[in-house]
Amino acid sequence: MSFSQIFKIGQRWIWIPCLLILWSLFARFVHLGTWPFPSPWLIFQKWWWLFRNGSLLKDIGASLFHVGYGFSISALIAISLGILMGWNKKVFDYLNPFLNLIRPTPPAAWLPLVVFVWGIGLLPGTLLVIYGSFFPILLNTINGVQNVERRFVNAALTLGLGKRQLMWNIVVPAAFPSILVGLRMGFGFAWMVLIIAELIAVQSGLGYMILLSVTTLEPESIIAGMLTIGMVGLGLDQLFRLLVDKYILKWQKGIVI
Amino acid sequence: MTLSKAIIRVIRLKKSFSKGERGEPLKVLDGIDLSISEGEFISILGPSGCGKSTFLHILAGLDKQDEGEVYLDDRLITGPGPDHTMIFQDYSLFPWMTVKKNIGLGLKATGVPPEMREAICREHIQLVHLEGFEDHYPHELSGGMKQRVAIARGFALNPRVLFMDEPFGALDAQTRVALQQELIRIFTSTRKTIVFVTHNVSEAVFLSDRIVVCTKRPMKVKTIFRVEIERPRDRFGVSFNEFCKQVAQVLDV
Repeated sequence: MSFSQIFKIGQRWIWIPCLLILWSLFARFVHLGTWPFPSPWLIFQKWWWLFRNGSLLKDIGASLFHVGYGFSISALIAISLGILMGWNKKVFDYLNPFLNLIRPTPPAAWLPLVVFVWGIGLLPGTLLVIYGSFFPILLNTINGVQNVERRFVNAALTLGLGKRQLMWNIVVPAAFPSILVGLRMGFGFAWMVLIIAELIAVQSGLGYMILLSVTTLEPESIIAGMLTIGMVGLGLDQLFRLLVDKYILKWQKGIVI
Repeated sequence: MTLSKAIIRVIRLKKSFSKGERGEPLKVLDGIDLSISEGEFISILGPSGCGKSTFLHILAGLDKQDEGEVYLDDRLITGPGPDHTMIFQDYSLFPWMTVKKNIGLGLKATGVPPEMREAICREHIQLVHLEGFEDHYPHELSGGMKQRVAIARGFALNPRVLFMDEPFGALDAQTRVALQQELIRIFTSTRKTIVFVTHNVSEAVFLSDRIVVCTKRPMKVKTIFRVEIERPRDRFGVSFNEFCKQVAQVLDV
């Protein structure tokens, strides 16, 4: 490894020690009310402790379960409906005005109603995750199906493909990159909405854990939880990209999703 | 016109494109009559933008005429289908399918059983010299190779007639000549009827039994040449170049 390479890597990661030093100084001199602002070291200790006693893993597991559950249902419905709406203009014309009416209401605005009707538990959380990830997947799927290149359709027709064959062999694969973009965006939203839901409507998971840390007066746990939420979100996003690149889109070079 | 039975008959074909709300509709095809006999290689030669591609799309059933009829074996062509398939300038291979799957798709769609499909694929991959590339994706192939796949895909269906829409237009000169030779080799061995659209005079003369020279838009048939030069044709031969000159003169008038 040459000097310039080391320099480049240093350039990329230099912010970490800088941030830690600044944070430590900040923690030293700033107080949260009567509480000292937790230093990075204190947070790490707390994080390690939560990790060792298994409660953090339990919370991560609960959150992953919630998000996986809601997101899978959402993806299933949104992709199916998206293909149908993209393919069939009549269905699109019927449903689109209705969906456009609901869409601008953010998931957080649904939260009170959902809690009012279903109380606190897995169901309201799941519903919010479904709602939160539904539209990015639906819209990208519709878009992908509607924008299948004419030349592919023409080529398929001259090869003798029927309507159903055209749908499964041409339209769906051609729309696939767009569907994946929707899934990735949808998953980001699902994760975000889940944490919000766990703050209020669900009594487990990382969101619930940081909320609980407020009442138990543990600012280190709050920040440790926040960092964990961020890292898990980032990790899942990276994993998704890796899977897509390696297995799903090997026919398409250098796609950016 | 030959007296042998025509495989394709085009009768008074007319087509206009509407130009939005204002302005006259754009007349593209102005009453074209043409008869194509079985086993014939016929080229439609015309200046760029003359409507020859639209003409071919109507023949293939991918576009609708305003007036007139197209018959294939005395049946009216009303839509696209595997017995009158088409090869496109941009190859139109499906990027999510390997070479083999691209070639096999039409066979699968028309209900050819798997073992037979496999055999036909293999045979046609050999026909276009792509052995060893069966499992490659289109993005891994050069332009010339992609067009070979498209040719194999067309011939694999064993159609009554093959339409080719400037199939070599996007290729460099060398690849183009190589593929012309390949196509003639395949044509002479299969004797499939081919309708070939091009704006390249020497390509038309090299390939065709007959050349239909068209006017500028709106397209009409100007002259039909019968190319009587023995195959394989020598591009540098005197008779070949004389013929090209003759065709070019008619095309340019």
